[in-house]
Amino acid sequence: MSAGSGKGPGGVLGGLRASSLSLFFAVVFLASLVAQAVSGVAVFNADQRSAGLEPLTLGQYVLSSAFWVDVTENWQSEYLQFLLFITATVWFVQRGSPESKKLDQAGRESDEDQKVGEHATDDSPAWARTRGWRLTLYSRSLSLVMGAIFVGSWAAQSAAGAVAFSEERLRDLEDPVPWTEYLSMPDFWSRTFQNWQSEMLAVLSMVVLAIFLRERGSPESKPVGSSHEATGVEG
Amino acid sequence: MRSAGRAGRSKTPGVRPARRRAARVLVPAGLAVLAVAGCAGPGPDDARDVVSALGDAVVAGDGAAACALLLPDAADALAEESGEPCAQAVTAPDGPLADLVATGRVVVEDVHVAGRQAQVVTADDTLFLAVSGDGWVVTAAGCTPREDRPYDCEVEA
Repeated sequence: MSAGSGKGPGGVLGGLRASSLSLFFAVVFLASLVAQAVSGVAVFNADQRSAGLEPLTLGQYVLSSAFWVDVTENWQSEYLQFLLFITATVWFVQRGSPESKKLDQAGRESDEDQKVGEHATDDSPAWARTRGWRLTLYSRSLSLVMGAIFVGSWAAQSAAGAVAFSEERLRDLEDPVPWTEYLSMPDFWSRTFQNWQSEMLAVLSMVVLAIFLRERGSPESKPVGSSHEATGVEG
Repeated sequence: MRSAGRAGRSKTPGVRPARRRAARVLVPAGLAVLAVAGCAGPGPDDARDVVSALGDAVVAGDGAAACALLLPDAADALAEESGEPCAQAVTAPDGPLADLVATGRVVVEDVHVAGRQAQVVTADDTLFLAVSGDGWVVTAAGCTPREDRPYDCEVEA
């Protein structure tokens, strides 16, 4: 982001601008979700019609397992990606990448570096100023929450997937499968791994390409003139 | 799968109050959607009732009532295959639903519902149903299981 971020102009516009990154992604997320629903119901209804069954309305489709298995299989992999990225970058480094810490900073770092306990500042969060379980929990709160959302999304994928898979089987005059059996079936793991591999590739690309390539003004890139050797430098 | 794969260390402090409020609204709303999804449409008891009604209609010789419980495409296929109207074919003593009412009444042993599809297993037959409007219609009946293949059904679309 631009220099001097933090205190922006007041008023509604100032507030919107100060949160423009979150708002941008919220809008794109909602637009994509709607587009997924609209295109998904068309695919689903093609199968319905070919079986001589009634097509679903958009409202019925967004309440269906067929829709939610597609949604949650992508959610779980995104949260896994960020969970791994957040935790792996504590310990692993990459020379020259702005996504990595400096090579000698691997690990949880000192209390002084992390501004906790007696090193906390006046504006540090309350639990960063304490010791004991609150500090331990707060020090890992990001990965814990991201991990919980990942596990929850993956569980939801398995539940919605089992229903959607059975629904498809019943439409084809085959026996349904219970959730426990679905967990060992190729459909569940194929949906899972096809998402995981793409997420890991995206992170790998980001970490490595950012060593040599630049995006002027982006905090995800080094400054354009930075050396390829510079590590842990953000633009 | 379709990720932009962001990275980088956050430079912003934590979640702001407005976003926490949004989370308090969105999370229960999401759970409500999932709960509604699980409850939408007719349930297993309705599927059982439709199969029982189909059996009753066949036993009573009410072919019109029986055919009304079939998926229209299934009723048409039955008429085409038998060479007589659905209402006659469906109640024939040696017709496709003879197994369903072999003991004089339908004894439902198991019902499976998945989304808008259902399977009802009776003492003498296996039937498949689908949601149509506010209720179920029978999409296939007189079904025999086959190893690693779909059921072979005497009535199906």
